[in-house]
Amino acid sequence: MAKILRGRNRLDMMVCEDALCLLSRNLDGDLGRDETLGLYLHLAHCDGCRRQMERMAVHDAGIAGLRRAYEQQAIRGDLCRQIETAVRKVKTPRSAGIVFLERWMPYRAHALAALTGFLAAVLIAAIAGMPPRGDTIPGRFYFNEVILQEIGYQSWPRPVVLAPGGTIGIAFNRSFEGYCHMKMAAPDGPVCLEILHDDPDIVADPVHSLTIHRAHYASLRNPRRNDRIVFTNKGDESLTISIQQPDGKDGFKITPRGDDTKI
Amino acid sequence: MTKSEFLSPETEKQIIKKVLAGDTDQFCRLVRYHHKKIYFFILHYLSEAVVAEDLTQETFLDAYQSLPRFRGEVRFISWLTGIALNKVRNYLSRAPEKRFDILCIDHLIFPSVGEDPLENVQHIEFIDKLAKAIRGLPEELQTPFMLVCFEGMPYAEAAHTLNVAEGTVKSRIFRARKQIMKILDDL
Repeated sequence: MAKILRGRNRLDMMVCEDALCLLSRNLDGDLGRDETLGLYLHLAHCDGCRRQMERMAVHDAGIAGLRRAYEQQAIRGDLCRQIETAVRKVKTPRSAGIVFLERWMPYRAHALAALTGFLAAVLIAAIAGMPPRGDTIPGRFYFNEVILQEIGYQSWPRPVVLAPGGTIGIAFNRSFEGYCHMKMAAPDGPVCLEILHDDPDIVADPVHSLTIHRAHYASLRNPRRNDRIVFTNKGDESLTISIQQPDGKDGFKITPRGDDTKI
Repeated sequence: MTKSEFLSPETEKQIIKKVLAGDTDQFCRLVRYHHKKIYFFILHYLSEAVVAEDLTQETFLDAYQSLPRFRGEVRFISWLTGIALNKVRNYLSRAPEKRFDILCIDHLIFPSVGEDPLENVQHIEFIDKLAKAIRGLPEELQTPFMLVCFEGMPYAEAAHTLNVAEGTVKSRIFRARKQIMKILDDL
């Protein structure tokens, strides 16, 4: 009872605009119990809103009549069948997951290959970005086993082919700061290559053997005047050696020396 | 399976699952159940039966292909009505002169409301005025009014279809009713 009284007090405060809004919602069946009670309590003492309610109700009845008139129109008998036929002709719908699988399953081998290639590229990039490792002579000369795809330096002098048992020495006619890169390629390899750094006063362990599979890359850091590197092909196949000109050092010259009669 | 088969919302959801699982014939049950409602909804906007039939078919084809995106937040018929509404809007944007056909009653046949012929004529005249009043509403009021008052769509579903808040729909329906009363007073 107290709740209803509180409602009555609140309703007495309801303005007609609010009541009309509730009236509209009431016609659409949207009012809850309390709102319905509040609306009817307002209508009980408001003639204007009662008249509006009657008008709205008449309009709604008119709309219902209009809707019925539409629905009594003839509808083409075969419309349904026509739609069904059209639906059967279009592609079958699938849930998003199935659509994804259907779309990519034919390319799974390609996708796998692409993924493998990507991972290999990432691995190579990671290795290439790593500092030279292994077979390192501290301070002067080191090798690494990175397979070079491209070398950003102009090759000079022209590559030389070292036959099995052949030897070639490379001497520097002056000192400079930077790296001299040497690329050794044995496409028919593997070939065992012996590398001698001909300066026993500085290098404690001057002889290195390197197995060349396809292409290897050696670097000489900060070569000095008269430094000499000797390569000997210890294998059964020929290999190619090319010297990469250090960047930004115009006029620098590397002179092949030694036993070049077997080249 | 008959034409009068009743489909509850739950049954419809099961049917849709079957369709998505590959049983496409099940979709025809939905077509049989809803095609008249969609056809008449479109006919409210376009009095040309042939155009309404075409748009009805397009609506079901779109619904069929978009079925994986139906999430069941509203009843299937409300979702379908939303697609039909977009079809109608697209059509009207291409043929704006057809906007004057909304709720055209020239081709309708009204059942008698009583014995008195004068009473019947007055009833038809009133409905004609009512239709004109609805036609005179701005689109932002007219569309929710059509969805709720003609199609019987709950406020929440109309709000979802129109992508507005439920309170906005309530407010627009109220404003539409007030404006209809005003237009009728002026006629």
